[in-house]
Amino acid sequence: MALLEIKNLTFCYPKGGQALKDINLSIEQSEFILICGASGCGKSTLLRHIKPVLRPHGEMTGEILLDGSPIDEMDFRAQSEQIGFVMQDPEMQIVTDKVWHELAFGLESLGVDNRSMRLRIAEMASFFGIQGLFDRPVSMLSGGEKQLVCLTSVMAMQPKLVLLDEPTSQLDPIAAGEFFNTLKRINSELGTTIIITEHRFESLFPLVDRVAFMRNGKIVECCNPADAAQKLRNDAELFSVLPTAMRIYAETCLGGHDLNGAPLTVREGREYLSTLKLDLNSQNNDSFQIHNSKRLSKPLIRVHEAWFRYDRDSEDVLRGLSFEIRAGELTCVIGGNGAGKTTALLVAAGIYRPYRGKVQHIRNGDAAKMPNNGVAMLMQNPRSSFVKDSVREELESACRAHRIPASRMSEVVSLMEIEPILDSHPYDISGGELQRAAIARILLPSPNIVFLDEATKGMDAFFKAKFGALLRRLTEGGTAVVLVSHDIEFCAEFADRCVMLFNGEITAEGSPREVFLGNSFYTTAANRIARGIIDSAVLAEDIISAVKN
Amino acid sequence: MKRNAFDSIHPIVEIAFFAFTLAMPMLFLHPVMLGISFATSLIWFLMIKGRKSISFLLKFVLPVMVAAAVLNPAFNHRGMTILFYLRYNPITLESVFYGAASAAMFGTVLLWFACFNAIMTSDKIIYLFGRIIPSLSLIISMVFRFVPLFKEQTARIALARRCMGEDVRKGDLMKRVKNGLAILSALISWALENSIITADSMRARGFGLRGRTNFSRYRFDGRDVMIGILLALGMGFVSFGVTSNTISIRYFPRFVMNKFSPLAIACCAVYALTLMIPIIINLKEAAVWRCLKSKI
Repeated sequence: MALLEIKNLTFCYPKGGQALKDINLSIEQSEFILICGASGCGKSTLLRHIKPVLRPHGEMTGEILLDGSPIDEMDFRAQSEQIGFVMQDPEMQIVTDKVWHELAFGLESLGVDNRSMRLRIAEMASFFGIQGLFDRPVSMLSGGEKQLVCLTSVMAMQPKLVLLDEPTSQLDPIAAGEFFNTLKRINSELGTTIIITEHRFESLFPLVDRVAFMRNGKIVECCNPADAAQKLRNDAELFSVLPTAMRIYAETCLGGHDLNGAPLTVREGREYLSTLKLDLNSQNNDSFQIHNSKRLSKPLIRVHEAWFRYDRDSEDVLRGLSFEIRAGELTCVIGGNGAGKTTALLVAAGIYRPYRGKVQHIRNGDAAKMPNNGVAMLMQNPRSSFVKDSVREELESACRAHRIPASRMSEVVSLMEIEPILDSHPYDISGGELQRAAIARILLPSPNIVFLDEATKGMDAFFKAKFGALLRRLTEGGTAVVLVSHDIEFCAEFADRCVMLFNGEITAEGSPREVFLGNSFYTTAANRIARGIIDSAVLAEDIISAVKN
Repeated sequence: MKRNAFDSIHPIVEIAFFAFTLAMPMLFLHPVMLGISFATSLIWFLMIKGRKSISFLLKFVLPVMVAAAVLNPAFNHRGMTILFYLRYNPITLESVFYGAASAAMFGTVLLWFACFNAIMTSDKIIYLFGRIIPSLSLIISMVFRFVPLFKEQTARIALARRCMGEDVRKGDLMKRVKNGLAILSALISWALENSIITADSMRARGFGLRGRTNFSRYRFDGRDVMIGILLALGMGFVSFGVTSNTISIRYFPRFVMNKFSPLAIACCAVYALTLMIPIIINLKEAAVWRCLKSKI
């Protein structure tokens, strides 16, 4: 008997709009299943239905059975114990101020006695390797550690089923990878059933038992990861989010239309490529020109040997940083956590002054009259900087404050494609829509340079393509855009220049091709697959076209 | 802050100790007792804070003491022995003594509170409240979590607005106030919306079930029992001394102190020893460490 059975589940929100349409899914004990799809396809709604206490209001038909009995008939205690739920935001999920208290929270609620609590917490903390964090205040943990504490807190209650709703969307790729590995451990060593929804699943794909693809509230396909290429070959939209190795295989395999057993990981992709026995000499490096090489346009900001730290007694965050930002270019700043990317942006924008070195804003006549000298900057998670009740009011008040004509506002609104959400409240719109609205607001004064800090966080793959095109439109208009991103694939595809930071210094600078071809590890999946075989490939398309020639 | 041996004592014993040491000077302004209390609290405070204690002493303790010592005679004119007249107001010897005594009282209470601050961490306070009112301990824990988080978020919002060209530090007063209110509004919206996530997280883990327990990390060991007994004996003896008028003090209209009987001296000695419990524990631990290290 399956552990969880969902039968004919249909759900409508009170204001209309069917969120789920006739979902049928059966999950066995100890299965590790991934649910994916674009934003708004209903994956979170589906997950929340499996945990009745988090179910949204609306009309639901159909039934959900856990171990054969309906979930709605479970009492609150059984439900809390047997079904665990980890949410997206590591910061707001944590309730208490110390790690030990957070780990004990669930057990305290269940009324477990002190001795058993101590034992279970000790067990779980040791299993996850976080016993060193026991006494630490929660505010001193990194994002990845916080999410791990949340997971441990849920696991200490010994649930049968763990549900995770985009747990790594706020984490950087390394922390995300570690989190997925921890989930795999839970599944294989403890046998816990796991259902996870995610946008970024390149590293998760090989670890799961089954993948369910959703679109518009329906499950389009549900299969083994290795068979996904075959099942989705006619569905261009969903096919584009499959892992790089799989896509390369699907486009280049000769003979036979059976795509089952496609490579999932970088390693399998490499093995596949070497079986193709490509003639390495016949490659033409010049054919890999995705962007036209632009003439070096004039620099707008010159940072020279900038040194910066936050306190006199703290460590240097920027050490001798030197780079230029040029008009009409999309510059991506990449690097690991703590490399100093956000600080570099703040210093280049002139918000912070370096204690040594120079930041030169090369102004033409117009810029001096603009607010902030023609520089616009958008920080991470811009939702909390919206203060009005609708996007329209926010834009209008910004226009009034900086004396901007209404024509400019409609120009920006159409550029950013935010007409549909103009009258929505900032807290009611999705992450991608919010980013567009926030960028629209900073574009109002027609800045020359736009700084964006991690604008692609939490965006799904479909929206990222749109966003990249949008940034391209901006740069074609002459604006310089500087984007901090953890998303290497995005940078490889859309950036004109890449700057890689480590420990406050620049370690690599140049076109994306130059930077990623020069790196062995911090580079795109396609590059890692083709290294040594097709040396000048950075994107999957490069590999595919090389093989086809 | 240096590690303190008193830190590892069970919170219940600790709070009992502090309750005693804080209550005594406030209730009973006996010069000898105040002197003992002041001396022990000062020594312990210096042991805890080391060199950093001097700034606290100079900035807070000394001014308060001086103020009390000077203001009391200036405004309190009870007492028999008049020393001199200040603008038609008699300055009496008794009120000078009382001023000195209240200065010592303020000083010693401040010092004990400073030690309390250093020893009683948030964990211990949460534990103690948890024993009295279990649900209160969770609320305190949440306060400790959310206050720093909100401060951080305010800074983030202010920085984001600064990047948009609305700096709360520049411009005329009206503009700055408007900007500040905008930041406050953004903070409140953020807090309210995100509190839903926190509430969901709590409910998902069973918050609201009856029979909630509290995880306690403190065990009552043999040493705590012994210190508890010593503390109880000390408190009992001193209380006996006070109630039986072996130790007594009166300032107005005439300064009258108890005779130095053997029992009175014994009372003060017991008081001193009780108050020196943390210091003795500290010194003992230091001695043990030195002894162990020398054997390596």
